[in-house]
Parts: sequence; C-alpha cells; structure tokens
Amino acid sequence: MYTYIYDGLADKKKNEKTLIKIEKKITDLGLNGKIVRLKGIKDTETVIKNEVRYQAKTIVAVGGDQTLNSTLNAVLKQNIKTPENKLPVIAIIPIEEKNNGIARAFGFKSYEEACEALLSRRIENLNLAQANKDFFLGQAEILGNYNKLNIEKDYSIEIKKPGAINIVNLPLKKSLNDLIDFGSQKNKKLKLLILPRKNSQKSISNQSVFSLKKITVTKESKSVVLDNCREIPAPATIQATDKSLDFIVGKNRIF
Amino acid sequence: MFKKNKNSQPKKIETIIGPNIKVKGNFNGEGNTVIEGTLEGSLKTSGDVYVGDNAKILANIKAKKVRVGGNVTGDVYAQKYLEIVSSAKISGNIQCASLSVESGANLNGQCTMFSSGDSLTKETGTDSVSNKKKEKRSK
Repeated sequence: MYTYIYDGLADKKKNEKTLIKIEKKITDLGLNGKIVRLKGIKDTETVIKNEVRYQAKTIVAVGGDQTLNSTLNAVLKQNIKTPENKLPVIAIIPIEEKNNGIARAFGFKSYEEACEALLSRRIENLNLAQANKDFFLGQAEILGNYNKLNIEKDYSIEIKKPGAINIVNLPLKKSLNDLIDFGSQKNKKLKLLILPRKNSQKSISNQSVFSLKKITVTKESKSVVLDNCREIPAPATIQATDKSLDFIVGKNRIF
Repeated sequence: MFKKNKNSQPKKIETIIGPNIKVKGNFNGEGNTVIEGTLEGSLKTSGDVYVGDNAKILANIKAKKVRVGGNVTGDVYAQKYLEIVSSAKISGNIQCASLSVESGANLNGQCTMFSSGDSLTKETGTDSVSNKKKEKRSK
C-alpha cells in the first residue's frame, strides 16, 4: 500500500493544478493510496507515525526536500515498520522545481518522471547521516564564519578565507559526483566541502574536500541546515551512520 | 595518472587541500589526494598524491604515485612512481620505484630507488616532520 505525505508545499494555491495532475497520474498508474496532510502541524513525525504505522509499504513524499526530510526522520525516529516488520520504501514526487535538489539527484526533473518511477520501482539503498538527533540524506550546511575545524583529533583545518562549508552525505550535483570519490555505501564516510564564497573560477582545485566520519560544529557557527530545509542550532555533532533506507530512484540518477 | 600533462590531476579525488587551506596533523587517506594549499605533519595514503605548483608542505609523504610541483620539506616515499616537475623544490630524501625529474627542479636530499616488488627495510616513515625535529632536539 502507498501512503502519500503532503506538506505545506502541496497546499499552496499555485501548486493546486500540479497536484491535481499528480493525483490523476497516480490514479492512471493504479498507485492510489492514503493521503496524509501535514499543513500547519508542528509535530509532523508523530503524525506520520500514527497515520502510516503498519500500513504503508511505500511512503511517498509529495512536495520538496523538506517533505522528504520530514518523512525519513519520522520513519527512523518513530521506528515506522511495514506489516512485514521492515522499514518502508521512501519515494518522492517533486511539486515544483525550487527546493527539490534531492528529487533532481534521484533523476526526477518532473512529477511525471517520479510517478512513473513509482511503477518501475527501481530501488536504491542509501545511507543516512545524522546531525545531533536529526537525520539527513543530502548535505548539512554550516552557517557562520569558521576559521578552524578539528577533525577527529587527527588533524585540524585552518581556513584562511571564509567560505561555504558543507558536510555531504549524498552528492546532489553530478559535477561533484564525477570528480569526488564518495566511496562505497558500505564504508560510508561524509565529505567536508569548503568552497570560497567568491568562486569566480569554478576549478575543482579551488575547493577543499576532506573525508570524515564525524565532526563537531561548535558554537562559533550560527546553526546547521540539513537538506536545505531543516535548521538545527549549534553546537552539533554531524556523523555518518549505519542506518539506511530504500529509496525509489530514477534511471537518470546522478549517483 | 600524471603522464598526460604536468597539470593533470587524478580522475577521482578523495581529498583536496585547496589554496586557502592549511592542514596541521597526521593525515591518513585511502584515495587520491590533491594539495594546492599548506600541509604540516604527515601524509599517508594508499592512493596517489598530487602536489600543486603553489603548495607548501612540511611533512613526510607516503603514497602509491606522487607528483610534486610545489615546495616540500620532508621525505617523499612513492611506492610506484615519483614525478618531480620544474617548479618543485624538495628538501628531504626521496624513495621510489620509478622516477622522473624535470629540468629546473630543485632536490636537496638522498635518492633511493627500488624495484616495485621490493619492500624497503628502511622505509620513509610517516612521523611528522615536526616530531622528528623534536626528537633531534632531545638527543
């Protein structure tokens, strides 16, 4: 059985027509299921748990990065299981182009492609990373100006010019995945990316990339933004985990 | 991996130390490493190392293949191949199975060659350069 999670993005008036088209497409494909609406609800994880517990084999986040992040956090934190006592498969249907980096990385440029992927059911098991108690799939952006980072007592990194700092679990850009060795899913490490703010030259050598299992972000940072949507306050410990979920992906995925 | 031209970098890179970055400590990796910035301590990887022309390194390097273009103070151990280009300045001993030195390169140290199948009895250690200096002082 399919359960579709709608958040605030699905209830925006500008997305009304798209949502009707999505529902029509899902009906045409014979993939109907229960709809859970999260608009205006703060404790989305508990709601998702109560609505889908022991019912859904596949949970489909209809919206954007935030919808997917709320869904995977609910599944892992609330320990949502299928009737076979397994973790459900997670899918995404993007509603709009903005704030949908993960859907694009999965190979979905439009909602049509995502709906069709539900039917073809190409499944990829992906590791998740954790920042304090929250999980994320893509990346964590550290906000604030950092001059020094300590990596697992082994070495320290001094940053001479302030730059954008990201901890990447799953690369969301093809150019990044082509150049950087992200390793296998089994021996999962995170990548620390430091990019100069004024990146006039897009050469890879202007960036800095380090592999790590764990990093502690101190109070010098304002906060950490997970998957471009979930903001958590510093200090925060960001680490690779052995937790993974099955995701429905497209054939044009970038990883 | 370095043979196409002197600016060629490894195809898949695990670590990049960019021009605005200074790394201090013992750096152990498994993949290819590119250094364009500053490194102090030691570097050990089972992959290849590319030292950019403007890089400054105060560390011992141990890797499969090494290309040096910048300033290295420390010993370099290349299990397979060491390429020293014209902009390089190495103050330290080098050990490798195969060597290429471009005209204009500056090398102050001993050079030891071995066949790729041999294992050296006295391999270049990866103790940090600063640690070695401390040891000398204590003696």
